[in-house]
Amino acid sequence: MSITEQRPIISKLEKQELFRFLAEGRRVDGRSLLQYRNLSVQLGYIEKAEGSALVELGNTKVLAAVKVGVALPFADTPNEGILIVNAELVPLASPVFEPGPPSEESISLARYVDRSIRESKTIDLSSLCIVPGRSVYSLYIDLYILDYDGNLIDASVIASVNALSTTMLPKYSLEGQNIKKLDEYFKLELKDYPVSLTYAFFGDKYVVDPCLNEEYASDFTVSMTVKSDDRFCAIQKNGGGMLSPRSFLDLLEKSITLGKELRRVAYSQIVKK
Amino acid sequence: MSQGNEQQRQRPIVVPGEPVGDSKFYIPGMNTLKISDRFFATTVGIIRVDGKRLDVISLKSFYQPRIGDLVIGIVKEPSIAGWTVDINSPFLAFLPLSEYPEKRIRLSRDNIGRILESGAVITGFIKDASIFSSPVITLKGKGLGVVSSGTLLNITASKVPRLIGKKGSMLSVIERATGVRLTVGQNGRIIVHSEDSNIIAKIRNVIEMVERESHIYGLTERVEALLLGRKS
Amino acid sequence: MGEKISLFKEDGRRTDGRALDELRPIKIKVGVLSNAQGSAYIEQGKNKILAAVYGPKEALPKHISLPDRCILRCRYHMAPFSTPERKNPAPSRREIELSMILRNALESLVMTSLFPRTVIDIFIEVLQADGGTRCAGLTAAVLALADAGIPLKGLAAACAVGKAEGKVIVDLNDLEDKYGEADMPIAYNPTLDGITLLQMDGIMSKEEIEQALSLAITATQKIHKMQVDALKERFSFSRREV
Repeated sequence: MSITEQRPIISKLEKQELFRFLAEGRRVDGRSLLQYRNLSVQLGYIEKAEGSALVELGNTKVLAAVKVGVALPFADTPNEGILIVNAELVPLASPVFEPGPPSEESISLARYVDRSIRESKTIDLSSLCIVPGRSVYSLYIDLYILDYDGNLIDASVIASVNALSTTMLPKYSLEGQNIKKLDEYFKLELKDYPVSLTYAFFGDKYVVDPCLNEEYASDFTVSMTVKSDDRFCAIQKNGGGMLSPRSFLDLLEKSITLGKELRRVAYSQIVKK
Repeated sequence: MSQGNEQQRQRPIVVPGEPVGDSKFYIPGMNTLKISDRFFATTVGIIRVDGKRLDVISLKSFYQPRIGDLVIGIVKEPSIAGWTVDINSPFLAFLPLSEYPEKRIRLSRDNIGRILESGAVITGFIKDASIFSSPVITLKGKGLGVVSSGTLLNITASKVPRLIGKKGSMLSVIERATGVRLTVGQNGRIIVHSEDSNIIAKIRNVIEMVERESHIYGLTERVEALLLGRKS
Repeated sequence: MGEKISLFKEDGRRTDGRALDELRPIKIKVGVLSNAQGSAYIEQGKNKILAAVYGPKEALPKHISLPDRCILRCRYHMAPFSTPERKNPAPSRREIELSMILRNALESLVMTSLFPRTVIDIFIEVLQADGGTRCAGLTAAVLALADAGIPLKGLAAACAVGKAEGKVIVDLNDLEDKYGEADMPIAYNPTLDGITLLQMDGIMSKEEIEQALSLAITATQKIHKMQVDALKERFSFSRREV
């Protein structure tokens, strides 16, 4: 069962300060309302994984690693590779992360990242077929949250896409009924560069890329993933509270503009110009 | 009674989110939500206007204890300092040893369990209630204490005022017609001081009628008719 | 595999004969279970969904309770026989996510500060699934809360909108959900003009989302009216019964 989450108590004074700043169109950490924190991407951080990237968004650290295997395709998609996203909220990252089975937060995060990548067709799953109906590539994206200072969704999408872009797949040859792994590799080709933009709402005001304190103090957050062609492939409101239709339409507009900027920074190392 | 259309004689029911008035004419009361100048109902209920105050009386609700309420409780568990008591509310109430009427109680655990065992029915007053702590019950007072005979019935807590009626009018109609005394707890529990199955069946019917028809005019007359076996 | 599934008939209508902005037939009944404080049942197309509410009651164990408001526990669950292939009754990742999304949506309606330290349990059981179960489930759960006498800021009705073969459509059925290009479940509270549940997957442009949103608001207003009628039906009394 899903239970109302326990949020750490934020002092009244901190909250008041936050709202005072918001009223002036500023944020406590010096950012403007629609400004991202500093973003850095380190490609190929885990050598044992076929693809990986470490993303730091302010103090939030997300490590994404891609492991490649061979699997039986799903019955309804015999010619398509398999993509599975999993997220671990590693206990060392925050006192609110606890060891144990995946929490609803981690499941929801993984599913959102999965939708962002799958629906945008960032990877062409039909190119990941080895023997139709028998053997296809399986790509596991494991997201490791190493430090938690808010906005896991945006950082995780950026980390996943960067990790996929570095992914090398082993080639296989068909020998009779069996397939044989060759000592040759090819690069996974990306078809799109989606970015997610997360906004935290305080009454009718909102900020992009909330840090943890902002997330805790907010009424709810809205995430939207924008593709390279400015179309949307995933949206989700998280938390209670009500979003006015007018604000929703506003966010669509803002996300297209902000998305272009974020995409340029987030994928600067992997997008060929 | 007039043979007018029943629908017209029924007080209109409002549902959560339905506009019920505005601050030009009223001040918002129970079960209302004020948004700028307009009031909205927050529960399914009927509108009651008392002077300028506009309340929505819930047609179904659970019991929220208030100090001074007479309640009928069921003892749940004896502990060292008293008993926890189910009062048909989100919270268990507590009956401290000091609020038990007998002066001399020897403080030993077995004793407490023997004085009031789990399942015992009590009538008491709410001595202390806030939304931040468990309600406290006292048995000190006239007519309070352990109920060892009679029949226990239930009604939706928000309908208790209708069952009692204005200045006890409905209750006295029932008591007069059946010749039996009733103790009605604000928490939606009723003790009928009788074990006669015919009378109990009659009173059950009355309670059902109050539950169902509390928002329709002329309830007292219909209850009287039901008890006296007359056609209304 | 291979054969192309068409989501529209030659006359431009949808596979089940509906127009683009037409809802499936909806049947709602409030107060259908005897033990629950509040309950509701909804049929929307072939969806058959029950919702039940227990509480508010003391939140135990104590550490789950909150000092200033009540907490909600929500379980969205699909019966093993609700889908063509038997569904494992253990909660799937999808059900865990939806339980959370639905809890969030309900949390924005319940006046939680009135009952500190208590818990309200909400159960949504999908008996038969036909696309749009989270939305129909929410429509029913809101009614179960109102039926339980729990103070609400208002009702909210939910409906999915989406896109199939380039056209924006309302209230997607199972087929349209599976083979369409996009699915956007929305719950809307008309009293406060607020969206309480919002998700989208699939591909839509800004203009398409704008169009879908406006269709969703119209559709949820229609469902809201049915909710109001069903609630009033539950509590009104006709002498004919006696």
